[in-house]
Amino acid sequence: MRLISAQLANYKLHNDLRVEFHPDVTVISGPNEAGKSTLVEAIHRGLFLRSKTTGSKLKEMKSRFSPGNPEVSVEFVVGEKGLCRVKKIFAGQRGTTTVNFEGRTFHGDEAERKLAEILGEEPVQARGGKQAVRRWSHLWVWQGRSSEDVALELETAQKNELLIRRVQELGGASVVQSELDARVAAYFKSRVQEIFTNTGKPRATSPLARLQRELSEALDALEKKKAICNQISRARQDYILATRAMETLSEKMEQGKRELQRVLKELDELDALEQKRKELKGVAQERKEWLSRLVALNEEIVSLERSEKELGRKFVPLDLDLERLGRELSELRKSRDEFLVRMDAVREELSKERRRLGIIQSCERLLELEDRLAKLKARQQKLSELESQLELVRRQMAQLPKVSSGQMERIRKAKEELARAEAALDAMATGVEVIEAPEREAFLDGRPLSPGKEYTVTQRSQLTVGDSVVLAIIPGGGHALSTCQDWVGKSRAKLQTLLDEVGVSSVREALEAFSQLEELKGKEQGLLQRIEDIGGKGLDDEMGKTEDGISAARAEISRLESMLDSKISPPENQAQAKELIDGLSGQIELLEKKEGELRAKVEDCQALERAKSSQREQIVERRHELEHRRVELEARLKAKLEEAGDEQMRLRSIEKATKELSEVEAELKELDEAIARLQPELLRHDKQWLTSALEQQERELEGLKKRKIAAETLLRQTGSSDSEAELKMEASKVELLQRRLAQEQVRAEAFRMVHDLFQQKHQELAARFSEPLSKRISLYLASMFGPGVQAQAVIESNTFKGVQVRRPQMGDIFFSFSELSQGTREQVAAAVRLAIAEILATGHEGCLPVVFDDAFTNSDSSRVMYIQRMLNLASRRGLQIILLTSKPSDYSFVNGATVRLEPNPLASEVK
Amino acid sequence: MRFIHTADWHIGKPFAWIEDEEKRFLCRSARLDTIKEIGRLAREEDASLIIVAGDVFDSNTPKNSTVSRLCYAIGQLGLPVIVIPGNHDIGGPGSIWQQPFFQRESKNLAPNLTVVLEPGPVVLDDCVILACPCVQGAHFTDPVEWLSGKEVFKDLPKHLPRVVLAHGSVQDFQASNLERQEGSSQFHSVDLGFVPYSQVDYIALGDWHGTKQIDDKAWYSGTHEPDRFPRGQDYRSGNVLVVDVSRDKSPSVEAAPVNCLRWHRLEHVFSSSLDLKYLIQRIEELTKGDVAKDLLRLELSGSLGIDAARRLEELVEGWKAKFLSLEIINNIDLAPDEDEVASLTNRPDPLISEVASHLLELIENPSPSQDRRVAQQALKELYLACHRLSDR
Repeated sequence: MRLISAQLANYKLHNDLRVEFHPDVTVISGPNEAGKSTLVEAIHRGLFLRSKTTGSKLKEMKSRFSPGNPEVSVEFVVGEKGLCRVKKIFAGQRGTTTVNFEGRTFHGDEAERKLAEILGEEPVQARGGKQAVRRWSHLWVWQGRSSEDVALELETAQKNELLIRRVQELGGASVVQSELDARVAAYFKSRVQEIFTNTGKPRATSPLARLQRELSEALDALEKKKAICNQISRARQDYILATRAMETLSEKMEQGKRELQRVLKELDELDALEQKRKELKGVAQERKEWLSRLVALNEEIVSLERSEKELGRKFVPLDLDLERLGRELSELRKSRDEFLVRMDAVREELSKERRRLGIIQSCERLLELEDRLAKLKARQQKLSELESQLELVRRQMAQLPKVSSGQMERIRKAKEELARAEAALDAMATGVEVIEAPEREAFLDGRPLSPGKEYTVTQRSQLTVGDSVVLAIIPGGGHALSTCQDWVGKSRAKLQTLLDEVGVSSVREALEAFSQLEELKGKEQGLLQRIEDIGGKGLDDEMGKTEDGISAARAEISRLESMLDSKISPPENQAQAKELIDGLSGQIELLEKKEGELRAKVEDCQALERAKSSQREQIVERRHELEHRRVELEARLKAKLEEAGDEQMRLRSIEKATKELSEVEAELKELDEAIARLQPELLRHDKQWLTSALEQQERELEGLKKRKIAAETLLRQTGSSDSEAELKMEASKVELLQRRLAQEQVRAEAFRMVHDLFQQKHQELAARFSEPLSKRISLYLASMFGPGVQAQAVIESNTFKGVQVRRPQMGDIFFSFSELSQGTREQVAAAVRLAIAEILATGHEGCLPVVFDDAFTNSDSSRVMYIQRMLNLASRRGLQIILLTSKPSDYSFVNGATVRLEPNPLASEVK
Repeated sequence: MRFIHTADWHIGKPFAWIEDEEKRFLCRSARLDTIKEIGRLAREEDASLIIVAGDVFDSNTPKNSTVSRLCYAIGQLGLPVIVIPGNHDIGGPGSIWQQPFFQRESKNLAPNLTVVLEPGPVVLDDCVILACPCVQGAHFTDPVEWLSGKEVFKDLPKHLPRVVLAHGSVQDFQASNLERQEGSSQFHSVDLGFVPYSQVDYIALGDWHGTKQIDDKAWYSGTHEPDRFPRGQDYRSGNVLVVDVSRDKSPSVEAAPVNCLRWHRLEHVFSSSLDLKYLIQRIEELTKGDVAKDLLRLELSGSLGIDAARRLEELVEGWKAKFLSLEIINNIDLAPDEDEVASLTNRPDPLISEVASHLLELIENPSPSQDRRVAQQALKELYLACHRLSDR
């Protein structure tokens, strides 16, 4: 079927449009709003929509510029059957359809039926607007649907079954699968799904998984049984080992005990020997001590005897010394006594001379004291005279008022002050003088004033003259006068008081008394000085002392004279006394010197005597000491001799003790040898290690016993189960399960194998089946994408499901349609549509139109050249291409004609 | 003097590999029942003694009920029974022989039983038993070693026949003794070189489960009741030996069957699906119509078609009920016959035939990554699924 022309009237924006189509490619161009899509819609409706269509479809077809009903005429040829003219006037229920074909004309429903038949479709039913739109959607690329999946479009157009039939006719292959194929495949699929999960693992509910679980449980159980059997087996081994070890150990212990017995016996022997040695050593020691005591005693006696002799020799020089010292001492005493006699005589003389001197000296003193007493008596006379004078002066002074110089001074000052007060009063006083007035006429303060006489007024006074005149005289003005008068009064009173104190009546009197007193005081002072000069009161004492001295001197003289056998004539005066004293003093000095010499000699003798005496005492002491030692020595010697006897006896004893000692020592030596033979150190060590080894073995034995008991306990059977049999049972169970599992695995794998093969074979068959379609799609794609591109039409369950594309530059992978880019998708979709159209064209006398309305908007301009190549190829392979575009320049190389639509000026105006 | 020589009773053997508990019980019970049979034979043969050369118990930890049943069975024999421990019920600490329960039960139920736990001579009225028990922790590593002692025979009665009673594998015989390992934790060997042959008159051995003569004097009695499938033609078990001995004379030994159960090993090679009928016939010959009396190890090889294999499976289900145990070693190669191949590949179902062809190719030329058995199983499953699902 090939479109020839289309004519539209009153159809939307087309008032009247006729388009003729090129048999190969017709490019219908025009700007937007030129009505390109409206044109192809009108052709489609002309072919498929019933003319009696009403409602919105009708409404939208109507032109808004012309009142007539929409009319669409389409002319096409169907191969050799010739031209077919279709004319439809869409006017609702009054719509008409006319079809001219093969020399016949059809109208109305008949025409609709005929048209559908020619186009290879079922007639569209009444109100089949939607149905009509779906027609040929695999050939008709409506605007905006260029990249839709062609499989869906094919489904929409309900051409799937037809396509599959045509493909099968072309390929010669039978249908993909029979009904039984499907049932068997489904059976294996469901079995595999029962057995395996999607990831290929056994499903938990499958026998395979159950067997695996059972096997794993059985293996666990087997391990447990093995463990039990091993435990018994180990216990058995342990029992045997423990028993054997116990036997060996017991044997060893017996041996050890025997050895220990031996050692203990020898140790007892050793103890006895050592005890005996200890005793013998005691005896030997005693004997040794006895012998050495005897020897020592003997030596001591010999030594004592020697000492005694030596001591005796030490007395001789001492006795000689004593004798000599006795002689020397008696001589010394004799000469000392002589000196003493002589010294006594000198001392007698000296004493006498000293008494004489004392008498003379006392006499001299007596003389002197008597002289002083006389002088003192004279001074006493003078003193009494002065004292009587002083008494007189004092009497005179007592008669005078006692004015002290201070009092006198105060009186004088009071007098001066009074004078000053009186002078001030006088200065203030007013004089009043009556020059001429009868007497008794003028009175001052009552006192009559005498003329010519001046009166002084020192105070406020009343001057009365006559009977009528009274004048007030106020001296000084104000209060000054009274103040001054007051001052005078006070001063006077003070002076008077002072005078009264002294007891005088006037200042003069006071002054007189004061000067007399001063004079008398001077006299008194002079007298007192003279008394003092003479000695005053101390004179009496001095006299007393002097008198006492005289009597003392006299007593001394008489005392001394009484001691002298001869009388001495006292000196007459002091000079004579002095002379006598000097003579006597010389005599005494001589005698004292003589006495000193004699005393020195006596003292020398005494010192020598003391030295000799001390020497003698030392020797005597020493001798005493020696004597004492000798007594001691003799006592000791005596005692020893009593103890040890005489020399012969002593030597016999020593000999006997020596013999006894050597006997016991020999015995000891034998004993030591016996002990050494027993090897005491080793023996004790043996005991120690044998004991500890036995203890250790005892412990070991205990451990072994425990081990044996433990093993025995384990080996005691309850008899309720046979562990060895159970082990065999479990092992068999494992074996059985393993066998079953292997079988089940084979079975499961077999199911999987069949299932996989079904899928694989199904795919292979499908591929073989769809090959004619795939080949054609590839052909068209190759014209665009170059050689190597490969398309695979997917046909499943007798349905075209879509296409997969493989391009060498995109790797060796098939991409499904949905995975492609939008641009590629519309190009691939176009190729698929062309391939399908080519296959379906056989039912339409080898040709079908394919309409592309703005179908390559997503393809970039570089591809457009190849798209033209594909479209040219399609036309060469018998298809008619109608392409609507707003860019006709893109398709300047297509093999066909270009029709340009201009926009309806009315339409644009309306807009 | 005549006695019965038996060994390897393996009382309490669990037969763990038999799935069915009831069948396991029957197998265990048969071993006790056969003791009764021995008693009958002993009476018949007028034997004065039964000697058991080890492994009376299968394990050293039998259940009390097992112990009681055994003691009862021995007690019922009515003549002296002398037993030594073998390697399965080895003597020594913790062994069954030392458990108070056993000692009590044997005293009460089997006063005729003597268990010899120490190597040494047991002097009886009419013979001397030279017992060589297996004892753990014994001084000798070889149970018969004590017989090489100088003084061993000095004080033995000169006129009484001497019978060595021992358990273990004889040196020469060890290499071919492949079956004895089963369940045995210890390997006991017996070196007959230790035995001064001139001093003994008979050597009663246990351990090897088949009846076997080693030399003039040494015999394995084998187990009284078979407990494994025969491997070779000369393997005979289920016997006891009736032995006549006199001092310094060669013994006279005669094997007597006493077994209750039959153990078979059957190999069958399929060359075509028709062979199935032949197999059925062979099996019927074995069982002689009996139920629960036979144990069979069936080793299948060759190739079978899918339908034939399925039929075989159905048959096996039936046989399993009748046999006490049916162990199948299935080495059958699943090979669909021409019709089966055609029914899979020449069919109007393109996928099924494609998959089937692919699987056939895999079976024919297996790849390392894909298991041939899996492919065979897969083909079988496909075949069965097609048949089942195409019927609808």
